[in-house]
Amino acid sequence: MNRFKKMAIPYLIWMIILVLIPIVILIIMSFQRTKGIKIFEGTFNNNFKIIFSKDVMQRLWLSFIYSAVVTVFCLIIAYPVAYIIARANFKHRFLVLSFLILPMWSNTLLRTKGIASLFMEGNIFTSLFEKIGITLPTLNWYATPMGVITGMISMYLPFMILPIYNSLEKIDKSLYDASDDLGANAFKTFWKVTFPISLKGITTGIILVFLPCATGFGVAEQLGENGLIGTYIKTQFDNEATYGVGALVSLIILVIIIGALFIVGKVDKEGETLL
Amino acid sequence: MAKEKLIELKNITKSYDGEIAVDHLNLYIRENEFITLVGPSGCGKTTTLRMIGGFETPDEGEIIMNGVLVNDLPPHKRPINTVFQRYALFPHLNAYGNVAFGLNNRSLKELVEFYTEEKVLATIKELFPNYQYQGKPSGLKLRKAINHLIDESVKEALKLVNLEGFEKRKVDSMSGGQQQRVAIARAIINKPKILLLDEPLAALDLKLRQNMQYELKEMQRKLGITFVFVTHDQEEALTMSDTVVVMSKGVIQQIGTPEDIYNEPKNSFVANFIGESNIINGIYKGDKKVFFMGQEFECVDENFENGEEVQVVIRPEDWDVVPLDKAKLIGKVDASVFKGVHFEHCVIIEGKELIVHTYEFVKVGEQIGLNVDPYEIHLMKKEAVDAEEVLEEILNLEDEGPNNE
Amino acid sequence: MMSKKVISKGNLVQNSNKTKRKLKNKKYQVIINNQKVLITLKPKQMLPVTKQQPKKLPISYHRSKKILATILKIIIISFAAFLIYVPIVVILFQSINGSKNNDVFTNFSLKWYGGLFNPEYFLNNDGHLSSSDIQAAKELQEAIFQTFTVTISSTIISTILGILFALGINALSRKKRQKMILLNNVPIVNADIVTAVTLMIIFQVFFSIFHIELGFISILISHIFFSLPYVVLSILPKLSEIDHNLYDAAVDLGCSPFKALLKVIIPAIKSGIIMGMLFAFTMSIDDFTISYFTGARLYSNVSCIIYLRKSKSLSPSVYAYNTILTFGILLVLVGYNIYVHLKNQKKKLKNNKE
Repeated sequence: MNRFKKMAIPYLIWMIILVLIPIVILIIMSFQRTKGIKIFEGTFNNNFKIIFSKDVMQRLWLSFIYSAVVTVFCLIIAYPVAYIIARANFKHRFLVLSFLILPMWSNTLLRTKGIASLFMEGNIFTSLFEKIGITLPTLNWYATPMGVITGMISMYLPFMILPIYNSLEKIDKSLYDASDDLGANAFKTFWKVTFPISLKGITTGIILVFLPCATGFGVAEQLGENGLIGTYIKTQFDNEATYGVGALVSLIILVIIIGALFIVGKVDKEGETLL
Repeated sequence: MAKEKLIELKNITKSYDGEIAVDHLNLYIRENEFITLVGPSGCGKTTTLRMIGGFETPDEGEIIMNGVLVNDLPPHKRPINTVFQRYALFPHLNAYGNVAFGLNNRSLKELVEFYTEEKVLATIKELFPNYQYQGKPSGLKLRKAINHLIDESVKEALKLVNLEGFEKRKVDSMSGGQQQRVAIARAIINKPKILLLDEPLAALDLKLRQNMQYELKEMQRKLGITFVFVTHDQEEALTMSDTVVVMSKGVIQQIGTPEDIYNEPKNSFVANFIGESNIINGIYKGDKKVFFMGQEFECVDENFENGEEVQVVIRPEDWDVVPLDKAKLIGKVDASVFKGVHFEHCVIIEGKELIVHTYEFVKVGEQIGLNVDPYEIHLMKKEAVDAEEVLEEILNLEDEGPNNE
Repeated sequence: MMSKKVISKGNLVQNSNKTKRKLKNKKYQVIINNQKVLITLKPKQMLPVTKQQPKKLPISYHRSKKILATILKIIIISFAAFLIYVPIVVILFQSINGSKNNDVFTNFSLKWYGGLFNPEYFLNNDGHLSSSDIQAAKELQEAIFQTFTVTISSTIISTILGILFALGINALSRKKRQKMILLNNVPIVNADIVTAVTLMIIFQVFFSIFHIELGFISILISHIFFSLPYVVLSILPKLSEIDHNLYDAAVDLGCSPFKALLKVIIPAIKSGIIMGMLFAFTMSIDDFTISYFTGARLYSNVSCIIYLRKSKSLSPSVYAYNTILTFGILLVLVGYNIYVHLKNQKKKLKNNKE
């Protein structure tokens, strides 16, 4: 099948055009004040001054804290769920799992909007229950950390369950027998065998939850939170005059991601973490 | 040699989803014995092994170890270790971690017991020559000494399986043979009373397999522990074992030494499964004489009734080729294959096919004269009627019975 | 040895076929001389079976512990399901709400479902709605159409390209392959917003040369761009599993290279292709960030509409759309599971017959 080698070349070109060249432009832009992307007409501008302003730093910090909390909660909830389903002696395991990840196919923004509406006074449930004479308490979580975190957990939980389930499902059942045979009780088997092997799934889950939480803006804005870094980048690109700043912040995020992946790559040398 | 019974299975039955895997099985395993369960796939040998290991509980019957009923004792509490079929090595640990796994699972107290107190104290003295203590050494020093001993044990176990210097290797970067050695080291380091081996050689190639057969046998002799070996390969069973248990359809067909099993199979299943056989219907004529294929032969078996129908087993290599005028049986060679050391001929006598192994070449189509020595003739009792015939009998009896469907 | 007398005492203990009526032949277990024998009968010969009573287990400490564990498991899973499904339920109620204000439930109505297919329909039946509401519904209709146009075409194109690229990467030497896989993973691990920004920049550069505005084309290319890595990554492991001689064997037996690909390689990696397609579809249908940056002004999908329109100018038919989508996929899923279940059962029956 070596004759197919040539087919990798167009992919390489495609990737160079859509990944490498834009990054180069991004780097050039980040030093300029431009109107749109007219990089050859731009003038030098020290965007770093803006970047290291209190506003941006606060946004970065807030984004990090929110996503860290959401990721930890997702992990705490998702691991037992994935573990229970993967180890269940139940024929329709896959059906239960698909039921849990099914909302991945419905619109994320709309779902966020739906859960956000519950955090506000006078939502569809309070009006429904009023009809039968029950007054539901108002949560008043809209635009509060509580509301943002709860909403994000609701959105991103399936992305944590799926990879952990996959890693647990793949574990050869005979490993449990072997561990039992070598004197480990159920608790020890979990800590010494199951958990270490599922670390790859956990890493994937963390990437899948942490990244969009920290850098996205759609979900957070629906929940009433406009103070995250994603919103900031979006605003910079809404206005042609501030493309340079937006480019610089995007670059910083890119560098952080590459750094994080480098660490993951050190731990997992085969690079099997993804999928 | 009266060795003590280590473990005894009494009337064990196990079924999965209504399919019976092991059926009223009785077996005992003695100290320092190499016992092999052999049979075709689905004969219940692995199920039996898993029940000894504690991975399955029998539906009926008793498993008795040292006089104690252990049916429900979980594997981690049994003094038994297993080498699994596809090794089941922990992929997240290296060779060292895999081998040390069992010992690391034990508590400090158990480990002191395992290594004996004198040895642990001696190790402390060796490691910390200036350390003074009253009564008991401190927990930290004890732990260090134990860790040192575990380290020694792991290296020793790896040395025993010829894997010195492989401590740091990831198990999935090892070859099948090396993985298998790690699996063995991982089990024997715990000094189990019984080592269970579930088709451990099945995934290896022929040459490696033959080497490992020899090495395993050596290891068993050196360690002096009981090996319970499961295989579907009859040759493997015969070469390695002290005792062979032939199983089929969840039932033990025969238990015996390899010689017994080969030379005196109890039924046609054993005769066919262990080596090749010619099975011929005959009639016992009394006085060590048996009649088959139109001739009377002398034999050595005598506990049959005069005129009883018997089955005669003759191994292909036991036939003697003799000149036609001295032959008792004369047949035509129908096909002939060279097998390296010998020729395999298919000989037709009165419409019945016989397999004959000889060292001489005989042309296909030629006549061949055969003879057989009395001690090469093995007689078996005529076997039970098969299921179809049983059915006929039942139907005849219950013909008028109610038809419930 | 078995005599006729012993045979007659054969005790029928078990009728080993669970599905009783459909089978022509039945199997019985008969105990003879303490040995169980399996026999097969034709329907005419069916026998009464003496049933073995299954032993009842006493309720023990062990068992009550098990029940407790099961309850705990159900609670944990229900909690997760609750968290995940709350918004779905909210959307469901909003979709059947008669009021335009989706925070106040007035009466049960399916008009938003109707509005999804024919916006004019509910103007005639409902005096409360203004022409701007119909405009919103029409806009939504268009957005749904555009969403599916982009999703379906990007899924198909990225699957086809993904197969070819995966074949190419698979044929590379080990080192080159690892580098390509690394490059392939960039869009997967990269933050959506960074991908979106870089794509927008490159499109603006190229499109300004040809004086085209960002719209359908740029969105389609972006969707293909972020779907492709998933397709490639799903197919590659399947490709490395298949026999290296498979393709050569097909060519040797007279297939043209293209035919060999179509008839031999593709079927061998089918499961990977389906996985990849599913990924591509999932990523594309729910994408917001990248579509928003690469052409939402001219070509909006549902997510962009939801983001850009304030609640009042967003047609509640969007709730109907999402509910149909969710339950449609649920139906497909359950249907698929039932199909697999039935297939397995058929197989079992067949095996039993043999």
